[in-house]
Order: sequence, then structure tokens, then C-alpha cells
Amino acid sequence: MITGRRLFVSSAVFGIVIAIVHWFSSRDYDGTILLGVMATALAFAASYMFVAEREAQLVGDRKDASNADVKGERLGVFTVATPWSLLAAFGACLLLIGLAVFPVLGVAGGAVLGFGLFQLVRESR
Amino acid sequence: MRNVRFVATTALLLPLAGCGVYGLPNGATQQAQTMHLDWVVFSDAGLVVAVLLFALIIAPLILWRRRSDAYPPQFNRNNRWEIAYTGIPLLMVIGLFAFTFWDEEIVERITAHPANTVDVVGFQWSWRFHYHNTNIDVVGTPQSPPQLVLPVDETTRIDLTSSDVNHAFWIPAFLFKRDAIAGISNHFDLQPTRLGVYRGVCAEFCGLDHALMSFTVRVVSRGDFARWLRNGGSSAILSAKGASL
Amino acid sequence: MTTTTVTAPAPGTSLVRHGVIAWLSSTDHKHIGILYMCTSIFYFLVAGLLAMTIRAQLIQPNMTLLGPHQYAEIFTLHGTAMIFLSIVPFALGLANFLIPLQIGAPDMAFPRLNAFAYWIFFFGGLTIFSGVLVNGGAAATGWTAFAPLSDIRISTGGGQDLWIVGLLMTSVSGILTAVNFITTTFLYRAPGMTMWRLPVFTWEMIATSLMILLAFPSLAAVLALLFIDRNFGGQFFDAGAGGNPVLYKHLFWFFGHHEVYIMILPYFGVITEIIPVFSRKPLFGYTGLVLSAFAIAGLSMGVWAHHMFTTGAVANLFFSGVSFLIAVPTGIKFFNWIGTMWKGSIILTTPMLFAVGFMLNFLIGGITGVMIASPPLDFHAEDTYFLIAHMHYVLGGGSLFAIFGAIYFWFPKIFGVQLSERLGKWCFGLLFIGFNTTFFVMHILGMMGMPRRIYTYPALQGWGELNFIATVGSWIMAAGVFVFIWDVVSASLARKGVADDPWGGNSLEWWTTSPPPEQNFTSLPPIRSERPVFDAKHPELARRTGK
Repeated sequence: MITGRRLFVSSAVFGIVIAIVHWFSSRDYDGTILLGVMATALAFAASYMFVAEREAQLVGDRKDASNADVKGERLGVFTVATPWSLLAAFGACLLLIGLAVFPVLGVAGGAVLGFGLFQLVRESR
Repeated sequence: MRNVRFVATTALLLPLAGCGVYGLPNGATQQAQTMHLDWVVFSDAGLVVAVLLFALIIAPLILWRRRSDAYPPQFNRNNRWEIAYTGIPLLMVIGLFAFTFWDEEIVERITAHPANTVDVVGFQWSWRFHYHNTNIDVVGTPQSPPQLVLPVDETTRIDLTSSDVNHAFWIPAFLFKRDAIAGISNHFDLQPTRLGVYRGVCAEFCGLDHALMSFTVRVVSRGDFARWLRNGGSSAILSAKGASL
Repeated sequence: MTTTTVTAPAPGTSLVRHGVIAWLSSTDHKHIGILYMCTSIFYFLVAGLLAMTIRAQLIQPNMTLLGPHQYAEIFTLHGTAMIFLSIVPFALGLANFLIPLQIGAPDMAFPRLNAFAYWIFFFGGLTIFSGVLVNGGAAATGWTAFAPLSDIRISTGGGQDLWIVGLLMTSVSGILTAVNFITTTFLYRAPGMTMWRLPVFTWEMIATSLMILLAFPSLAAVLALLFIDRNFGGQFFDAGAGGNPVLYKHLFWFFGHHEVYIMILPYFGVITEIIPVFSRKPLFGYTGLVLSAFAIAGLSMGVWAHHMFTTGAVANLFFSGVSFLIAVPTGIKFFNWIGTMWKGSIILTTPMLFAVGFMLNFLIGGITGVMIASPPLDFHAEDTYFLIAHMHYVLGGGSLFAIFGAIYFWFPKIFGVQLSERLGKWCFGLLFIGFNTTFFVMHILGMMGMPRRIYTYPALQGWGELNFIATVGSWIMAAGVFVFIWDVVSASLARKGVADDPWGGNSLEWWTTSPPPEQNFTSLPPIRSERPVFDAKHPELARRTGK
């Protein structure tokens, strides 16, 4: 996790540096704003990782760990199959196509997407 | 290595003799001389790197093919080599950038007092050339491309824009293009050095007849140009005089 | 929802599901990876056929096989399909399949999100292509769709709108997948698999995911703005109403140049997996190689406007300087591959041949890339066939060769079936010769003055001959692709079984069975370096590495 955090911190710092250099070499608003927004996004992710770090103790980060250390421990619950991902994607597709060519289709698509998302949330309870 | 040196020297000398290298047209403007040099320097540097790296990639395939099932020495990580193969390319690109820094300035330099100024407007799908302080206004169509007349050895300022979508004004013989964008006026100078008729095209895809959006550039002597201006841009004068071009 | 609780070490269940319903509803990363890869190969074949028609039209001057509008539709769909529906999703699919296997995890962190990402990509691709059915035809403004050309007043057809929403769907899919990759690699590594022991392919995918997160929102933004301009009376890109066409270029290329590295970094990873296995040596400089991926990802933030040198609206020297710098980390990768092969014990199998072909082709593309990073040189080369040649050397000779290398390398692991080495070498030979025949001459055509995206050209000196050579090359490439299809079909029919580790691999996917069981692993070797499987099989040569 420390490596991961460093990754985001250094990317954010580099983004800020390059935004500043870009501003002074071009005085161009469009590009500088793009770079600034991007650096902010990276800094946001990095700051979240500082918070998350305190709680995380990953067996994958211990360089001498082996399978015996975690024998029998529960790694997690994984979904194997669900029909609702496909349905939600189909609804999103209809919604967007509807926006482009045929509004009624968009409404139907929105309903399908909403139903799919509702089912996804419901089943993870 | 001798072959590389031979190719490199030939490539460096060819432009001096006035011939094209690597299929590149002769630069027919003052500015194009610099850009041509840029092409030659970069192509030669690229050629040297390509030959060297091709050799380094192919050589292990010939020298160290598997001969037995035994594993070769499992070596890796060598700081000295890693610093070398980071540092040397870094120095190379710094050198190339310095060169770019120098010639970018020359190519884009704009004189304060050009001899003539031409407004160029790209539209779907042809060009309009308007000469400042005259009534000369040439409008082409895809079927009959317009002609841009330029005097030799004089600086002509081009003010470039578009009245609809993006276009790009490109004269391959001048090794130069610039985008024509609505709402933006781009300026650059052209100083042709050789008489002749050259082909110009639109380089940015702009719709159906993009492929037909060409024009011709006719570089004439200063006397001819002055006469052409006085006659309100009548090309009859030129075709009589300039048939030999 | 069907779930499974995974305890460590994960039990290998025999619960294998078959049939259409199973594939449609599966959230298993391996199924999703296979779906991604098959879809992208399908679009590769479609886009390849489109390219063949382009080459047929250009075989000689003044051809009339295609009309100007048809030609524009075809090159737009060719570019869109190759970039958004083929090269990028193949990498996402391969990573979907490989990342959990390489880090020793039972699945991705968010399996249902993963399935959603695939299906929205799937529908996005169909939406883009559905443009051919509507009035006015498919989008015909190039894969860049620069406004104002793509504005409603000029491109009136509904195909352009379908193109926009289809692309929006694929960009959403990319963002979700990137989030999934980063979370999975950060949190679901097996015991002992520290970050500095991750296989290089996984590392390259982390860098790629980071770039996807930076770039795709910019694409989504520009598509949304264009959509508003077209359908709801917006004027973002209409110069006459105070909009700015250059803003479109900024937003598009801010995405677009990240996209270039998104299309190549995964394949650097593929090559870096293949070369050590067939040189039978460890990677020369693991840390340097990983850092170089992040150097590329970082520097790629500051290069987008090298696509805009000729606009006269950006600081050319800044973008030129940063673009030059990218050559350095790319060079590090090349010297690493050479250092890995050096004094090795090289086996020239089909995947290794594709890796070598990748290096040779990509080197040419890289060198021309440094050339056009110099603005005075780009003033001539921009938007010409020189650029077409450069771009295809990087994406065709580079990424596509790596795709074929990856297929030949991992096909036994994915399907438990070995492809034919003999046909594979034929496939490589035909593709390599055909590719270079097609695209090398394009450098010269571009310098002579042939602009891109023209449906016809006049009979100027030399143009006809060079274009004819390029078209003949495209036929040779097509023959290579046919050999590949033949190979896959015949191998699938023969179903010759394959060992779990046919090549003597390094990373964890070679530890499990071919194809892997439902939860990927029944056991794991101790992980003490970046090649745990090699260490376990050759303890006398094993070395301990990684922080």
C-alpha cells in the first residue's frame, strides 16, 4: 500500500509541477486548467489513500508471508454470476441512444438502467 | 560502420547540392532551408540509432540461441549499464531539443514589414486569396483550383483563417503547413527562393471534397509580380511570360 | 446473485458452468477477459477488412471504387474500431484474465462492476457501428471528429450522434475497468506478493489504469460538449457564436495522447513477459523497467499539444521538449529487453518471434516519433502519410504484433489448447513482410506530399507506384491473418491437450492448471521474487528480490 500511495502522491506532485511549467511557458488557460484539474484529482486519490492506510494491514505487503500464514482465513466473498450487470448496461445503452435519436427509447432505457441498478444494490445486501 | 558513415555523409551533402533526400521535396523558400536541415539532422540521427539498435536486437538471436537444456547464468541488474542507457539517450534528446529550439525560432520568425500581405481563407472546399491594398481576390472551386502568385526573394505575409471547418494550408515544396481555424488568425512569412509552379493542398480532413481542395502556387520574378498586381491579377500576363516555368 | 466464499488457500471447485446463459451472466474475471478479447479480435477483423477496402481504393490514381462519403465512413470506422474497440479492449481483456492470476487472487475486486464494464463496452461498439443503418450513414469525420466538422450544421446525419454515445459508453467502461484493476492489484495480492514483486505486465497495467483515469474523463467531457452542441443548441465549438474550435482539440488530445500510451504500455508489458521466458534469464533491470512505465505515464500528461503544433495556438517548444523526454524511458525499455536477451539461451518460438518483430517495428515508429516531435519538421509531416506510417508502426507493428504474441503465448493457458508453431511462424512471416511492405513506403509518400484521408489522388510522379506497393502489402498481411484464423480453428478442433506450464513460465498463472479452475488456485508457491514459478521449479537458481 505504501508503494501505491507513493505512486499517487508523486503523480500529483508531478502534475502540479507540469501545470506550473506549462503556465509560465505558454500563458494558456485551457491547458493549464486541464493540468490543474488532473493534479487535483490525483491529489484527491492520494489523500484518500493516506486515510485508508491506517486501517489496512495487507498480507500481500509482508515480504516473508506465505500461504501458511493465512490458512483457513476468509479472503472475501466473490460474486460468481449475476444477470443484472448485463441488464443495467443494456439500459444505459438504450438511455444514451434514446438521447441521440429517439427520446421515448431513452425513457425506457432509463427505467431499465434504474431497475438493473436497484437489483444490483438489493442483491448485495 | 563505413556504410553508415557513407550514407550519413551523402545525406548531409545532398541538400547542399540542391537535391532532395529521402524523397523530401527541395525546400523552395528561405524558411524551408532551415526545416530541410532539421529533417536531415533528425533522419541521420535516427538512421544511426536504428542501425545500432537493429544490430543489438538481432545479434543475441544469432549468438545465443539455445544449445542445451542448461540454464544460462541468471545475471541481471547492473547499475553502470542502467545509468549509461538512461544518460546517453537523455543527452541525445537534449541535443536534438537544442537544435529544435534554435531552428523553431528561425522558421516562425515574422518580419515587421513584409513586402506583401495575403489573406488566405479556407472554406469547404477551396481557397480564397485576397492581396492587401489591391482588388485582387481569387476564389477557387474544387474543379478549378485557385492560384496563389508570389514574388521570388520577397517576404509575403500570409494571414490564414477558415470560414467554416478546420482546414490546413500546405505547400509540400515549402515543407510547411499551418491550420486554418475559424475564429483564429494565423500569421506566417514565406520567402520563395526559386521560380516555379508548386502544388498546394488542404491537409486537414474537412469533409466530402477534402481530396480535391488543392491550389497552385506560382512563384514569379519581382517584375512580373509588380506587373501582375498592376493588371489586377490577370493571369493572362503570366501565362504569356511564364510559359517556360 | 450467486456468490462464493473464498478461504485461503482457495479451493479449486469443479463448478464449471457452460452455455450461453452462463457466459451472459458470468462475473468470473476469466470469462470476462475472454469475452473482451474475442470481441476485440472480431472488431480487429472488421477494421482490417475496412482497411483492405481503403487500400483497394488507393491502389492507383483516380480510382472510383468508393465515393467520397463512403470512403470517409470507412476510414472513420476503421480508426474508431481499431483504437477503441480492438487495441484498448484487448489489453483490458488480457489484463482481466491475467491480473488476478498473476497476483494470486481468486477474482477481481469488483466482479459485478467488471461485468457491467464489459457489457457497456459491448453495447457501445454495436452503437458505433449501428450508424451504418441510419439515414445519412455512419460517422464520417475521422476518429478524431474535430468540431466544427462534426457539428450539426455540417454533419447532419444521426450516425455522428450514435458514434458519440457509443464512444461515451466505451469510455465509461474504460474508467470502471481501470478502477477495478488498481483496487485489485493494491488490495488482493497473495501473501508475499509485494508490489515490487509484481509481474511487469501487471505493473504496466497499473500505469495504464492511472492514465485511463486521467484521460477518459476528458474524452467523456468533449463528447458530452459535442453532443450538447449538436442536439441541444450549445455553441462550445462554434467560432461564429463565441465558441472555440481549438478547445475541442485541447480536450480531445488531452485524452488522445494518453490514449496513445494506453494503447502501448500494456503491450510493453506483454513483450516484457515473453522475452525473459524465451531467453531463459531474469529481466535485466526490473526496477528500472517499472519506473520507466511511470515516467512515460507522468510525462504523457504534458505532451498532448504535440498534435497541435500546426494550429499556431499552443506553446510548441514546451510540448516538443516533453515529447523528446519520453524517448528516454522508452529507450530504457529497449535496452532492458536487449539486456535480457544478452548471453541468454534464446528459443525462437512464435511468441518470441512476435516480440522481436514488435521491437524492430516499434523502433522505427519510435524514431519517426522523435522526428515529428520537432515542430519545424512536423510542419511538413503533420496530417500526411508520413504520420500515417509513424502511427501504424507504433500501433500496428507495435501493439498488434504484441497482441498476436500474447495470443500465441497465453492461448494454451486460456483454453488449454496449444496453437501450431509451424502455422504461427508462417503467420508471423506473412504479417511482418506484409506490414513493412504496406507501411514503409508511406513515409516516402508523406514526404512527397500526400495528405491523409484523401479518397483519391492525381497521377503525380511516383505516387501510383508507391501506393500500389502498399496495397500489395495489405494483401500479404491479410494472408497472414488467414493463417492465424486457420491455426485457431484447426487447433480448437484438434483439442491437443497442453501442460500447465508449456513454456517454462515465470509468473503465477503458469502455476495453476490450463485452463485455470474457478477460483484460480488450489495452491500457491512461496513468493520471494518477481518469478515465483521459476524459483519453485529451479530452487538452485532462485534469488530473493523485492522490497
